[in-house]
Amino acid sequence: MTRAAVLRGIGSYLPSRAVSNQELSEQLDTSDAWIRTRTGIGQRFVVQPGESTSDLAVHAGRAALNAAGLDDVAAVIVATATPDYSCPATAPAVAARLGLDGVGAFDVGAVCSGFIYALAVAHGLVTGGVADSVLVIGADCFSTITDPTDRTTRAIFGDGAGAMVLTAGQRDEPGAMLGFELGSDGSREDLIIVPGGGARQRSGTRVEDVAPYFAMQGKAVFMQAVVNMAKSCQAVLDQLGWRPDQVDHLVPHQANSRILAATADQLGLPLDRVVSNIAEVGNTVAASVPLALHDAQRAGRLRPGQRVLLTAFGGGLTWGAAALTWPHPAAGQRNS
Amino acid sequence: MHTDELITTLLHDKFGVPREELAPEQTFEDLGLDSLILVELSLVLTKQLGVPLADDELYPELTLADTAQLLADKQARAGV
Repeated sequence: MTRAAVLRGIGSYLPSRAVSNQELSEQLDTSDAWIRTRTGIGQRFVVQPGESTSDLAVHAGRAALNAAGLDDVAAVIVATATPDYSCPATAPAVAARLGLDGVGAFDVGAVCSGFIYALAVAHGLVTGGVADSVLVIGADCFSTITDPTDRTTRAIFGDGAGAMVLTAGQRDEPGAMLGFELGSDGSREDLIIVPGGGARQRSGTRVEDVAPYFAMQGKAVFMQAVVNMAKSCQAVLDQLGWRPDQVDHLVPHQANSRILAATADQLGLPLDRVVSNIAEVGNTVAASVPLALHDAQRAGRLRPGQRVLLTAFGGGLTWGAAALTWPHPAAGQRNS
Repeated sequence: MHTDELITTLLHDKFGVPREELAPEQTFEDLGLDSLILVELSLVLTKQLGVPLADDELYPELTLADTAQLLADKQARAGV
């Protein structure tokens, strides 16, 4: 029997303020019809003034711990591209506010691929014997970095957080993380980027030329996302000896409903196997995968033992896939 | 299947373009296909033909006839 990191509980959190397509169309040259046909998004949630990533992460983390019936974990990982501060990382403050005194805590930066990357790291910590239990949180508030006048990014991105608790168990248990594939292409760092606010700008001379807002090249990203998510999924399927038709649920990063459909098509998976909640929450970056999973769980869609394939693509460029079987509900779970 | 037949079949079956609109001299723009659809079409064509199409090779002003020729040329160069 082989040691594995096993999913024990999942939780999520959305800030309270919903922004509809209608509201955006009153501020910007856009429409509900345009946003829905191009992205599949109907609304997104945004943080209140002063609310930040750690706040979302703490709520989601608390929900995941309650779902797992645990008060304690040995490590906390926060995947984010919008940390509270550029220094220090967000995870130590999140751990402290969750009452997790003294545990290892760090951030993982892989933008929209962040949660998959963080799961791979958690798997490594558990199977390597560094930590018996890990709280993995994906949290982002891109509403704080998008250009208020950019109708495309304001339509796409939403704020939120999702979290999972993983603890040591065995590979043949329902809930075990079974396989991972991670990839990157740093030669295209320009495709998904916040050019300003970092060391590159600060060390340069023409500070005023560098934009402080998030920028993305949609068409190039679309194609790269579909190709690389499909490739990394296929690599994990090959690792595990699964055929595409044996995947019960595909949970891609919720970038755009058309990317989800195109990815399923590339893999030869029917669209009804794809888990999607993008219409309700938009693209929540590192929170996207756990938010979609938690949503599917609450809808009663996921059954113990079912094969679940996660995949994501994001800035870096980065991408990855991970596979697990869905767990039984934790015996000691508490209501959040 | 010839590339022109493949294009019209895909545009009809996958992207819902009515058959009567699928004439060789029609451009993608004439058919009301946005830039994201062109990327989606490129992905499907790449998969079906086994020859890579970059994200900017299909553009709105391209006619269906030109596209068929472009794909046939790519296939010939790839020895497919």
